[in-house]
Amino acid sequence: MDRGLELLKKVIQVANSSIGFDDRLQGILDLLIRKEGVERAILFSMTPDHETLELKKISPRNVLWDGSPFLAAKTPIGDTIHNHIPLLIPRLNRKEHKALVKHSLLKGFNSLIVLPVEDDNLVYGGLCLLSKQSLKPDPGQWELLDLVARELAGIIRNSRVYTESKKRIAELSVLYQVGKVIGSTLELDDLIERVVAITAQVINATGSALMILEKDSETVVVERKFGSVPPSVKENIFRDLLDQKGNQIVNRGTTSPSRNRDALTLKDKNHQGSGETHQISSFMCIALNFKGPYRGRLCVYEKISLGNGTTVYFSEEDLSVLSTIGNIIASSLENALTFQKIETLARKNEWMVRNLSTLYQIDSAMMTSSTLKDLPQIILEAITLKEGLGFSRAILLLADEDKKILTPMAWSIQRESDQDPSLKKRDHLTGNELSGYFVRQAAQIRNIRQEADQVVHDIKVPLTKESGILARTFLEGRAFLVDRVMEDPRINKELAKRLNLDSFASVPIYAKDKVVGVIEVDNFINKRPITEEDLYLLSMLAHQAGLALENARLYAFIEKTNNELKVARERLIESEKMVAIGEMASGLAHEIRNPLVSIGGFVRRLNKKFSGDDQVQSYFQVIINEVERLEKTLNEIMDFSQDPRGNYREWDLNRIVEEALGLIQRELDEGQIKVQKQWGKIPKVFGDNRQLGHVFYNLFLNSCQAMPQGGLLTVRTYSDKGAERSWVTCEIKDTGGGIPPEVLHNIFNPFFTTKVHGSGLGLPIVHKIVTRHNGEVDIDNRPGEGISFLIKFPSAKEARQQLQRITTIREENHETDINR
Amino acid sequence: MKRILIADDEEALQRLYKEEFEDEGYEVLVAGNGNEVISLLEDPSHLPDLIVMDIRMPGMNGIDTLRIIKEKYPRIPVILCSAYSEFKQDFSVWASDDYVVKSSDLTELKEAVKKHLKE
Repeated sequence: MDRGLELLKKVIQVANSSIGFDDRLQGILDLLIRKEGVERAILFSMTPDHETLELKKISPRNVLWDGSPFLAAKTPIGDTIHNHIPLLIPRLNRKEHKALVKHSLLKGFNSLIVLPVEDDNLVYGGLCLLSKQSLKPDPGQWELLDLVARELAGIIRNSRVYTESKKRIAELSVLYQVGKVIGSTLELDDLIERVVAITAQVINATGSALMILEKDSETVVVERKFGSVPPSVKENIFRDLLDQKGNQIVNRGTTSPSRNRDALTLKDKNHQGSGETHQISSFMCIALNFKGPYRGRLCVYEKISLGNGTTVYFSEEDLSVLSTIGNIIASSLENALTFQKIETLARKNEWMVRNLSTLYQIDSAMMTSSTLKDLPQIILEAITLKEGLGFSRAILLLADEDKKILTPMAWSIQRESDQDPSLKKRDHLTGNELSGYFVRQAAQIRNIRQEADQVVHDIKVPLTKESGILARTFLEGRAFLVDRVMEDPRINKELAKRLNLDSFASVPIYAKDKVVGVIEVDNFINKRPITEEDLYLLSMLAHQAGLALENARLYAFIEKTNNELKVARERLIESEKMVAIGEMASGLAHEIRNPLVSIGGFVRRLNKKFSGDDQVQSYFQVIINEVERLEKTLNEIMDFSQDPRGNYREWDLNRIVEEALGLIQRELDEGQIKVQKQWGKIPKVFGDNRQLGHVFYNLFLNSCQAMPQGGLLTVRTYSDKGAERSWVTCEIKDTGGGIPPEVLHNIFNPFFTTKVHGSGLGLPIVHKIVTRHNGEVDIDNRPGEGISFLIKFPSAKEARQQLQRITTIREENHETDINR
Repeated sequence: MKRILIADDEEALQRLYKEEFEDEGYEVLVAGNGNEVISLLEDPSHLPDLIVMDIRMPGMNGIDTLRIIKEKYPRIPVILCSAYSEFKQDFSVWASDDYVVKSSDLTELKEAVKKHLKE
């Protein structure tokens, strides 16, 4: 057989064998050696930029050269490849080839054949055959060499196609696996777990980590690690990596072109202090791209070779696979994040709706019972009932602004037996039924006083910042939630111990923008932790409670005022009737008295004239007696209706005031009111002692009612000479907080009162009596502190002078009336 | 014999007072209103030792008349005798010497007269 054909046959056998592509290329080169005098065969591959030739295979394999695997394309060899024309250089030692033979791979040879390795489409490189002899191929040999070169090109092409396909298949398999994983769940947590696992598995890394941050707030939404992630890879590296754009591989000690200086610095920095055992030789990181407001990072650590289990470096291929995974999971993760967010919102909405409906029901219960007495209890029952907010205990403390303390007004403790078995379950109650339920519960519980009440009823919290959270809730007007009572320095330890508190919350009660009290809640029985949500709900309820309390207070006030108004009006009508009757009687008396005096007078004269006739005298006596009786009746009518000036005398005002104090002694003692008396040396006053006494009695009563918690009543008399007139004054000063300035002008109005008890006629009567005595009432009102009444009378001497003037006028007026 | 001036617009009362006081041994002059009292006083021969006067009278009333009397004849005691019991407390203010509420029993009035005549 022809030698050439023999060679070709062997070449084709090698090319089609099942050994690896590289081995096939090597085998073919080996076949070329020592054929036709060839002593060295070299296969160069053209780099993609066509600038350089890179040594791919060489035969014989044990060639020693200085190591440079590259050859510039601008050589006769490169030209040959570019020009697609084989080249023969018979004598390399000629001058023009001096540069070429300098390359160590070509050194020491005499002649060179270069064949382009190409197929119809692509140039893959060149085949160089070298010999120390002179190579002179005949046309048949050239054809043979050309065929061999084409065979090499075919192997290289196949190798590339194979590699590409393998990559594609690997990628498809990754896509399949990842896709299968992320398609299997919508649950974020589950999904993340699977993503990190599959990522590590697909890349064949020992560990993987995923982190997603919210863009604006930088809060971590997702953070998950899988497998062996060195503890040194702390959040900060992760964050650092997050800030870097693009993807990167960091292989320890390699010179991979994708290695990035910053990343290397990072690695070095973080590996120095981390100890030998946790050193990572390599890791790989990609950015996850989201449409929404997130950014994230997916990392893998330490690739393990499939064959022997040793650590190997990440390749560009691994990076591309990781990127593919990143692209697929990003949108799924985003969907899951959104889903979770929606679910959270939905849960929150549901929670809100449930609580709002509870609040609404509590609210309607509060509105149903508008009596001030029941309302606080209803509020507290709503807080402690399981069907309400479900706290173990609630205490409503109202502020006493005068004494600057908070005192409990009502409280409630959850009882296991609260459930009324006759009632349907709360869920099945309609709004009205539920309102009734709360009201009934409140009524039932009002009657059951528990032992625990003893603990609560005499709590007093001074309204200072230092006295604990309850006072601060009031003073600062905001809610507090205290988790660990005993560790909290702000706590009133004594109170906390007394109430057996581990944790509690307190919210202010507002009425018309002003804090009026505090609601304290705790779970001292069931120890359930109090959440922010509880606090939120409680604040809402407290707000409602404030409004309802205010409403009830106003309602009670209106009702009371209305009642008092009714009483006042009745009295007024009564007194007007009396006045009318009096006027009538008085007029009648005058008209009757004169004829009566005539009749009576003359009958007495007749009686004297007929002194001998017993029978006649007895008749006269009847007339005399009857006239006397009529006169007596007349006098009684007059006394009843007449202006009481008939009793005006000169009196010692000190004595009158002292006597009035005596009348009120019981109230003063009961109200724990201290009395300070200062009797001045004063002239006598002119008037009716009963009426004057009534003035002071009324004023003292007023002061007592203004100081229900006790206080100081100062009574002082003195005389002062003014420019025009001199007064005898009695000052009555209390510490009852005074009168609101806006109602001050109304206090002498008989239809007006701010007091809980009393008719509201006290002060108007005082005013009327004092005015009738030509006196004056001055007021020194100090809101928030107290009020002073200055009751001023003219001295008896001045009173008489005045009276003269007044009576004259009166008499004249009367005259005019009579003459009319 | 002491002379008393009675001033009252009721004729029946004038007569009653006159007869009663005459029985008591006084000389009694009568006037129907304040003007008559003043004109009577202008005649020195009629000057009374004491005047008993109603308050409500037509023409000049008792209070105005009293003021004039006390101005011109401060020494003559004046006893107001009226159907108004409520003015009783004011008599000293008006500078009358006494005040007696009218009654068919004249004992109180007679004693007052006696007292002011210093009998």
